[in-house]
Amino acid sequence: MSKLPFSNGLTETVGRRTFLRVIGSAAPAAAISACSPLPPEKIISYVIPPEDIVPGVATWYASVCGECPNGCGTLVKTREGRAIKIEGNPSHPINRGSLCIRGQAALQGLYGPDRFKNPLSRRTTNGNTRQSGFESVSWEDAEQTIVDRVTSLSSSGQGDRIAVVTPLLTGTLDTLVDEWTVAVGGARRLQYETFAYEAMRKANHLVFDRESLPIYDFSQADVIVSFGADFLETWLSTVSHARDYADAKRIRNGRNARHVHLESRLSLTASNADEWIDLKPGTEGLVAAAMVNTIITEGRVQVNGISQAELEQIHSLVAEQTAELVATETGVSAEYIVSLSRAFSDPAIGPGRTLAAGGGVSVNGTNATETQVAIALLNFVAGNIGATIKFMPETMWNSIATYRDVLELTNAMREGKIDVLILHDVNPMFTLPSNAGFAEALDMVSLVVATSSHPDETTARADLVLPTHTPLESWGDHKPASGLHGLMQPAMRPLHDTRHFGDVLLNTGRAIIATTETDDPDLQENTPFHRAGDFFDRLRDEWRTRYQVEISDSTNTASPNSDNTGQSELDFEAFWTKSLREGGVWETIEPDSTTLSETLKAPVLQSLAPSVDTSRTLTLVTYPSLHFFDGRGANRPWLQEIPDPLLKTTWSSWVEMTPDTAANVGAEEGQLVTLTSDHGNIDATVLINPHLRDGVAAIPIGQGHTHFGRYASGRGVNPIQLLNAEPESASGGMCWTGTRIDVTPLELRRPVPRLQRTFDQQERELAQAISVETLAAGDVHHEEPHLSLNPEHEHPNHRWGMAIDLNACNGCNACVAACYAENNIPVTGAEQMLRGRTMSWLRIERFVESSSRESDARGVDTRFLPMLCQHCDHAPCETVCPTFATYHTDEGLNAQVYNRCVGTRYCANNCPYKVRRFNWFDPSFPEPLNLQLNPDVTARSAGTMEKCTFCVQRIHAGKDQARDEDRNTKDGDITPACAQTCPAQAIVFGDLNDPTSRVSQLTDDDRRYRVLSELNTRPAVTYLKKVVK
Amino acid sequence: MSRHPSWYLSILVATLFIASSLVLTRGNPEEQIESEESVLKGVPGFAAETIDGQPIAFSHKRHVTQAGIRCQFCHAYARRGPVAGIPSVQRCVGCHRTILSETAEVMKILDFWENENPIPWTRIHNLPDYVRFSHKAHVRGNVDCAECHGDVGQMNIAEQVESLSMGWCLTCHKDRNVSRDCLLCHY
Repeated sequence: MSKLPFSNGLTETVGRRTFLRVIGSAAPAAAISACSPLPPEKIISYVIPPEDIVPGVATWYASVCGECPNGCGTLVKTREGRAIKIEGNPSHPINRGSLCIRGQAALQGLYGPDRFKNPLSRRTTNGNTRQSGFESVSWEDAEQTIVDRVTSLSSSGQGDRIAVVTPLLTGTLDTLVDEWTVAVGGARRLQYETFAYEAMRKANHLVFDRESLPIYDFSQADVIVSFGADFLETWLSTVSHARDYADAKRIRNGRNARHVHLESRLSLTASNADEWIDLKPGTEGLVAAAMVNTIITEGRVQVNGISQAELEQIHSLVAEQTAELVATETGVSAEYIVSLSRAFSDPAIGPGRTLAAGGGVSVNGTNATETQVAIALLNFVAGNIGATIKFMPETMWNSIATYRDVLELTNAMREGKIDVLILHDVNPMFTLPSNAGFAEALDMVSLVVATSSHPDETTARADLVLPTHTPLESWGDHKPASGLHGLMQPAMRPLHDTRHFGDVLLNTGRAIIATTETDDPDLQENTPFHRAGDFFDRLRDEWRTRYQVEISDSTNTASPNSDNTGQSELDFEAFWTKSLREGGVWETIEPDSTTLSETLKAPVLQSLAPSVDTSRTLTLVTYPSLHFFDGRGANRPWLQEIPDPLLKTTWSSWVEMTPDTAANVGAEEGQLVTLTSDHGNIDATVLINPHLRDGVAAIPIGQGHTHFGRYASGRGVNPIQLLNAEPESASGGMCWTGTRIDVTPLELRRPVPRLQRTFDQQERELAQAISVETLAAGDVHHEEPHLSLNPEHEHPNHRWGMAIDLNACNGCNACVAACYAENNIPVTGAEQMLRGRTMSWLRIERFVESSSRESDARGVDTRFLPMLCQHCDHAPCETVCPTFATYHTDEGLNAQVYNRCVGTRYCANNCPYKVRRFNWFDPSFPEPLNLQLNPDVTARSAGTMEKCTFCVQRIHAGKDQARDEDRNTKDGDITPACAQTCPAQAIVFGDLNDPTSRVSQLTDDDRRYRVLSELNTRPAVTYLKKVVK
Repeated sequence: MSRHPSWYLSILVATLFIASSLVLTRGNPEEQIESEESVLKGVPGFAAETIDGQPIAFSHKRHVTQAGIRCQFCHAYARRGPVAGIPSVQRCVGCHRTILSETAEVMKILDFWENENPIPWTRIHNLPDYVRFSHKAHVRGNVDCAECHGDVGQMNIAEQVESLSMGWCLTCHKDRNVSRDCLLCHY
């Protein structure tokens, strides 16, 4: 037996540890390598240490989220110079510290393994340019190519043969693009967004003379009626809505807001409603008009000082739409429409306390504008304009091109009127219907330049690909609403040889200016292209101007040294630093007063009823995906992996039908069917979804990519290919709904990975609810803990616990994505998902209770139950672990020590909550996705069990900071990743030993219960029952 | 401990367990080379690799005991974060641009500096990946550097003195009556 180093040899009482050590040392050759020292490692010094980095300590940068146009403020956590986590900026007025699932997944855009690493040019061989491949070129050559082509056009006065298409941009980059288009001699410019809200803008123009989108304040609404608006998913500022909506649903004075949702499919937003009306697709406007009619005829108009003429003007628009008449066309009973109208204009709650939200893709059929007009009128007569619905002096949405504008550009391309087309960060090849002819039109453009950070269907068709920074590597600013100026700063150096789009514009603009002679005095010296400096300098120039405006505008704003009229550069530096640190500048702007348009006339509601089309069997409803938005999120593996909030499907897309509809077309669950419209056909797997109107087929938008990287390509189907390219006549928007399709079942099955197959609780009372009346009556009783043979644990210092409010949780999955990012959770992929394998530490279970409260309202008591390790006091997992890898800490945590775990999986078998995850394989993080890993959390390897730790690394960090400040931890010091990002603030974490902590108080709430309390596991997680009406 | 796994099960799992439960020392360091003279004189042809595989024949004794430089002057992050940090080349050059800048070993540093290269030191103290150790917490708790690293100030060639095994950690944690929870270091 070899000598045991650092031990006194065998003692008289041989402990378990000593025994193992002896066995280990005495074991023959196999064990020797395990006993040898760790292999030698290099330790690399800095040459010059970066000022703002302490190794092992996070550095945070305030910035702006770039995943959608809403402009949420972010704080990006970096470690040793790389971004590892994104959180909402608590001081940002829009998102107030929260982020949605897409914002959380922005890191995977930055670290996407398929990103462009350098500029690419199409190799022109055999003359067949579109079929050939790409070759790497230098940035200088790439930019020179643009300069040469643009110069030859602009010097011959053909600047209008150049076109630039960008997504919605605001701020400095927006200005710069405009300046570039002027400098090259009048290039066309479009801001293209897939969801452009054309009908809402047009309707607001018709009704209020404002072609604009208002701000919706759900927090102040007592009755919310949503006509298809998925305001918790993709419709406008969803994170802001989610926070406000949770406020509205909170019980105040024994009541909370009532939410009625009218849509042919039960969306996530509809799942949160008290009543869901599955009316005929496209008839939402009729209901709204009938409500307006009812409110006027019953004299319940809630507008102060409205003139009789105005009233009659409105009434004349909707006089034909009586509740009785509309009932037959919509499938909603007249009684229900009348009672809803009364609730919506209830004098008891006062004017301006209700809100009708209309929109989203679901009401964008051929009558979209008329529908929106009816909804706008409904809000007007209920007095909501200026109260829950605020029109601000400025809105960014006005600058977006309509879909018709995009079609016009496509036609110009097809007619050979465009020679140079620059497509920045847009993917029209995916988001336009195929028969809009964009692909053919691209062939007619001699130079197609795509600037994007990642390959997609559009870059695949470009002649020149210029790789750009992702938002996390970029400088910029964003102005999402009046008075909000977000400042975007890079959280890290660019990963690849990429450039900022602004710098590409500046470089090419300068070269073009230098070679172009012009007589226009404006173009001779007065452009940014005549000045030195890169985009960062331009940004600072813009902010210097803003600073000077602020100073001259007022002397009482927060501007530093505003009494100093000298406005020295020093003052600007202080302002700039402060803005960078806080993520921008926010001012409170009062909403504009909004009145009815004087030109509001009868024809605006002429074609309110949807056109009746019986040509094919089913009506197609496409809906934007919570995870993928318009498809731009599909290359983020987290967004593919995390189950859809409603159907719990992953890595795929599908077509939804009710059981009856499926039976009528002869298809069953999992079967592949061909869907044929007048405009195209696709093959999709059938999923049975009972929460849909009969005769409707619903398909999510966002999947079906062909050139979008390894995670998105070849998954699911793109329903946009089935849609009519013809725009809606009034507003020029896309007609997302109402296309008729035929279904042909195929003798093939293509399973869709699905992690929850039943939404029935089987009376296990996992997700519980309580009625408002019961709660108000105080008729609550709670199960006391049973006696137990287990010894009681002592928690001398802290006892960590969590409270989850099921009344606030809307099932949006943001917490799940935050958990993936924080805790190095690997994705398993579609194949493993088909076997039911996921590594997620936090899942949201969905249960649907049947209820028959209202005759029209379908029972949609949908309950979302975030399920994570319950950190039980009497944990069944602990008693079966043979290696003591899982045990109860004296702070109330159920610990999982990876290096002790030998993978017996007894614990997972014995866990009644099924929250433990076993690593069957070593996780894979394809480079550079591995750079996102949180260095504070062990990346687990094959053979170990893992589960939620209550973010123990954050508990340590919180305690560490408290000790630095020589104090005890206080409530709010420690927030797990899930609670941090929750847009509805449904999750509260804290110390149960502290009776004043929020979690302690919630744990004593009347709505409290524990899941599976009959097992006497005594969880540290308390759920608060959902409140139902 | 209220429960013990049964013995036979321990034997079964033992071989799997060894790899993660035993952390032994680097073994006997080679006979210490009396190199101080060589360092000072910069003997031509002196191969630094012969000194325990380090790229530069660096003597802690020279810096700590003779020059009186405190540990955290160079290992500046120890009180601020989990990692004590290896001094940057800039920090070395800050003094050595003028001090002993003609000696062979210092010229190596200046070489690294001029070429903007980091110095690839060989790590002496290392912990397995599943151990989370914070220098900051120990500095804050007034644990002297020497308690874990030995009397480095007397070493010409830095070497590991303590085992850094879990049992060794726990001895001290027990003596000082601080947490011995697994989750303190393993998560």
